[in-house]
Amino acid sequence: MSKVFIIFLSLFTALCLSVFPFNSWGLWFNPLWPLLTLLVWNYYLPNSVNIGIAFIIGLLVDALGGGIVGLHSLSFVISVLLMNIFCVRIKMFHVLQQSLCVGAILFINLSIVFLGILFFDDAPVYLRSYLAVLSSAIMWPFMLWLLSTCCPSLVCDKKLGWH
Amino acid sequence: MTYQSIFTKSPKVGVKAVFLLLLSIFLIVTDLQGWCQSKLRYVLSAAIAPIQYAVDYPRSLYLDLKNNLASQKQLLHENEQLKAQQLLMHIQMQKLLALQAENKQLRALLSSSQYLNVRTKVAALLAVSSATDKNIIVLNQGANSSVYVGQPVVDAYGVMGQVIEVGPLTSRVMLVNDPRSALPVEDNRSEQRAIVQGRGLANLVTLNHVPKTADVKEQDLIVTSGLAAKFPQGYPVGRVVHIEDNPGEQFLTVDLELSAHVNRSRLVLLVWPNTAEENDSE
Repeated sequence: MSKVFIIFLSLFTALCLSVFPFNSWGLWFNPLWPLLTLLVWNYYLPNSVNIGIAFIIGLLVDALGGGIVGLHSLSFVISVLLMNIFCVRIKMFHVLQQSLCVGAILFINLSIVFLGILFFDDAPVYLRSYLAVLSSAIMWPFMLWLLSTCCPSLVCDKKLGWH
Repeated sequence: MTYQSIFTKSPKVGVKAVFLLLLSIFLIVTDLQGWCQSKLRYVLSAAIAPIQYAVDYPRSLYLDLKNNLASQKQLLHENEQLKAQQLLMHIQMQKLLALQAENKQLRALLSSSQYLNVRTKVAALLAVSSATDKNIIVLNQGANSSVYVGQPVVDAYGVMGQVIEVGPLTSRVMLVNDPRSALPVEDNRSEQRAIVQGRGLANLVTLNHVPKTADVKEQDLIVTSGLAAKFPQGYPVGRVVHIEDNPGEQFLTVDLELSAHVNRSRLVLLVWPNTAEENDSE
C-alpha cells in the first residue's frame, strides 16, 4: 500500500470516528480523532502531513460539525504548527510526557474553537467538551504504537534511529 | 534532499502557516458576513457526504441483518400488531375524510385558501453526531429532493425542527430544543399565542413571553400558529407540564414537554407547506 493511501485512509477513519453516534458520555469522551491523527502523522512524517493538509481536514471538520467555516482549519493549522515547531523536542521525551505535550496542544486547539464560537456564533459551549482532550492524550501512546506496528516502514526514521 | 532527514521542517513552513492562517481568517469573515456562504457550504457538504454515509452504513447494515434474521414467530406477531394498527388508522381515516369534506365546505364559505394537505416526503436520519452541536441532525435528503433552507421537519408525533443547511445529498436540521431555535405557537385550547424556545435539554422547551393574565393551563396542547409562514398551522409542538408564577418577573415561566421524539425518531417527514395537495410519501 502506498504512503498516500495509508494517510488518506487513516484521516478518513478519523473523520468518521469524530462523528460516530456514541451515547451521552461516550460523546463527551470521544477523542479529537482528526487532529490526533494529524499530529501523529506530523510527528512521524512532518514533510508529508503538513499544515496544508491540516487546513483541509479542518475545513471538513467544520463542514461535518456545521459550525463556522474556517474556525477548525485555523485551530488545526496552529496546532500542527506547534507540533512542527516542538517536534524534535517532543521526540526526546518519554511517551507519557509526550502525551502531556499533545494534551496541551489539543487544549489550545479546543480553546481557540470555543473562543471563536463564543465571539462569533451563539451555539452553546459545554466545559465538559474538554474531557475529549483528556481521552485524546490517553490515546496518544496507543496511536504511536498502532502506527509503528501497522506500517513500520513508513514511520521508522532509520537515519536518526527513533520510532 | 539531505536537509529533510536532519531538519524535520522545511524552511518555508512559516510563510505557508501565515498564508493558511490568513486564509482561515478570511473564510471565517466570509462565513460570518454571509458572502458566498451557501456555495462554499454546498461544496463542502458534497465532500463530507461520503463520510456521513460511511458512518451510517454499519447501522443500516445491522438493521437490514436484523430484519433478515427475524424469526417467523416475530414476524407473525408484528404482522398481527400492524394489522390491528391499520384497522384503527382506517377508522380514524374515515372520520378524517368526513371532517375534511366538511372543512372544505366551511373554508369555501369563508373564502379561505389555506391548504390542509401539504406535500411531504419521508427522510431518514443519518447516524452522525457532532462534537460541538448536540441539537443538530443530518438527513439523507438534500438538494436532489428539492429540500430548502427553512423547511419544516416533523415526525409522527410533532414538530422536530427546520432545515438550516442543504447539501447535494444531505441536509442539516436544527431541532426545536436548540437554544437558537424559536417557533411561533398557540395554545390549542385558548389560542393564546407565544414563542417556543429551546434550552438545549433533550425534551423540555420554554414558552416565552406569556403574560401573567394569559389563559394557559397544565396539560394544554401547544400547536404551531403558522405566523412565521414557515410551519403550517396546527402541528403539535408539545404539552405544558409546568407553570410558575414568579412575582419578580413580568411573564410566566412555562415549561413544555415536546411531542416529537427528538432523540428517538429515525424516520422524519419533510413538509412543503405551500405546495399542492398531492402526497409524495415513500
